[in-house]
Amino acid sequence: LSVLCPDQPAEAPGKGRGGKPDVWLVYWIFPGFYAVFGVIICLLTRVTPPPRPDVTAADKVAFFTQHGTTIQIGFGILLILLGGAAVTNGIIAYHMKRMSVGSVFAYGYIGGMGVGALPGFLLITACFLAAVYRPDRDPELQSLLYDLGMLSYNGSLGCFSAAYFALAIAILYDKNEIFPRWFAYVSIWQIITEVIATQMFVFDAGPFAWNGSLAFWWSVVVFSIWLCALIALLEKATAREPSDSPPLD
Amino acid sequence: MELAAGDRINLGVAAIMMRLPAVAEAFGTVTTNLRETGSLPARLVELVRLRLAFHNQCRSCMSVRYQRAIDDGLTEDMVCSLERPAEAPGLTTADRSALRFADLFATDHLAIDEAIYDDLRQHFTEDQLVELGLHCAIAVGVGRLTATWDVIEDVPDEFRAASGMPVAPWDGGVGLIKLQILEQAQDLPTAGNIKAQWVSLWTAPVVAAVLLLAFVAFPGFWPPMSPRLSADQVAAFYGEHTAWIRFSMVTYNLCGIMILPFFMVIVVQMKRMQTQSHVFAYCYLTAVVSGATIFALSNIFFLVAAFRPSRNPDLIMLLNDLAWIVFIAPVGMVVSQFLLLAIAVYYDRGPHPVFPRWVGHLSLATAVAMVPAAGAAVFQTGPLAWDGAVSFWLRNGAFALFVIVMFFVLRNTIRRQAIDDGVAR
Repeated sequence: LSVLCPDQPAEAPGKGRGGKPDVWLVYWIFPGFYAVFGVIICLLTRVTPPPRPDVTAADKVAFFTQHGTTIQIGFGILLILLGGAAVTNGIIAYHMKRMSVGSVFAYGYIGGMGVGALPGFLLITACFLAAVYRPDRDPELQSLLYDLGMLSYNGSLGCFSAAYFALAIAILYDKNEIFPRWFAYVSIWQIITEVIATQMFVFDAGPFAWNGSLAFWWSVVVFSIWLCALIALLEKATAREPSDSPPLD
Repeated sequence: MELAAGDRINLGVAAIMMRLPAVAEAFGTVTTNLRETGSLPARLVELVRLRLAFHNQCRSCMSVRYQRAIDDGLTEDMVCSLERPAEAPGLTTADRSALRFADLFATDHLAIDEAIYDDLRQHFTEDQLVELGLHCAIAVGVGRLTATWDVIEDVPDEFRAASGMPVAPWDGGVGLIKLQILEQAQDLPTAGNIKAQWVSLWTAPVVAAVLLLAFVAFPGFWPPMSPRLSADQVAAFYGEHTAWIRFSMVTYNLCGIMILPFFMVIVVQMKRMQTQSHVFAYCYLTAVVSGATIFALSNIFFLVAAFRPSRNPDLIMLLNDLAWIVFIAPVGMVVSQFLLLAIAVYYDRGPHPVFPRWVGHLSLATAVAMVPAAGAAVFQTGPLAWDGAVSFWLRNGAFALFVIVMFFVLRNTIRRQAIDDGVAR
């Protein structure tokens, strides 16, 4: 063979690293989306770390006035890019379907996360943009949009808990070792933070408020660990998939 | 019977080749020696030959079955399983390895590297590898030549050219006008799949007609309500047009999400794409669901505003703002849906793509056309405002156009799948 085609390169580029090109493409959207999302929520729209719940309507109006332009830029971009969330959910569901436990947990994950997009960040986007859209609105209404947005964004608990639950159980039962078992326990910790966060609907100050040390900061720590681990684990899972394995059922 | 037809076709080919008598004779010697002194099973050689005949679209080659192979155990079930050799239960791993080599040989021969040969070596001797290679070389080269000579007088009817669509040995026929599930295939699971897709597809024109009616009936769309209206003007609008607003938005509420089965047909078709992992299909499914959820919220805001038009006008205006912003601006899910479909079409690089490539271009163009509508949450005047030419008409027009075009694309795609699955002709 080598006599007939002596010019053939010894090693094609990309060899040695497994995985399928389309899964890699989707994989790279995952950290990309969360990087942009992080810039939007932390630097532009200022919803993370969250503004205080225990302020007057006038303070909330001042918040919208002060950050009006960056809220419009940040959430305007998010309106276009929010489909990135669907892609990040899709790749996890894809790898869950590769587990030995069948498709039920993967579909559960898609269901929970698919529902979560609306209360989880679309509603705060709509509320904050509507508030900034007419800054001269009645301060009581601006205050309502502020509370509705923040409570929906920080307080959408069940859709994500359901998805984390499906993920954790799937990992624990899986025999194909798509994700390591310890990641199931990190996912269960995510559920615990969601349970603690229920208290933000009761308290407007202190550790259980939506900006509190337990309801918010503890959740941020766990979520950050979960997210960073997931990015690393997805890379491994994607690389370990044989590139010539048949498409999923 | 089959043998006789096959012989006549071979004679037809040979008759043309006889214009160069010495070459024809020598070529006959080569093929005869290859057949008779080779050690590969006749069954395997025949499977490889038929698979290559399909790649070549050589109709006369596909219509023939060699008796030697039938004697060696070749069945029509095996021929049918050639459609997806990787999944076929009746094939051995050696068969699959050889068929994979043949596929690459016909479609992407430079991809045949030492790894492919090492895989073959697990099943075949070095002599057999040479034999397999020569069979492939002759089948691809001479097969393509024969295809151009078009020897079809003796070809059974179902293999005759009917349209531009590819013919396959596992096909019954081609070129049907409407989908007619075969009587004997009615109870097959594949027939159920086709019927479900067909019904889901046909919900689209019905739902689209209802939604168009609701669109025409909404007084706030003709022209689209201006964001510059004062709170009192907005409240007055809801007071004057309460009945039509309710009719239109209740219709959207009830029927808007019924467009989902149509998009689920696209998901099913994306999952038929052979040269990709289907990760796009799952991302697409999630995007469709989330996008629909967002759409479902907007008509609630319209309806709550129309529920008590006598409410404080500031509240009516707030509900109206939220309704319009949620209706027009959150394009991200739909945009990603169209981008994912486009990428999936571009990655569908096999010999039988599910959708034509231009569907990818159309999907991409639709995504691009919808992106600027995100500006509706920010701008109160100009083309990007929610009543603007770009945010309202281009956004909604592009979406509607895509659904209409895709309806016809899917209709053809499902028909072709029905034929490929052997449940229609």
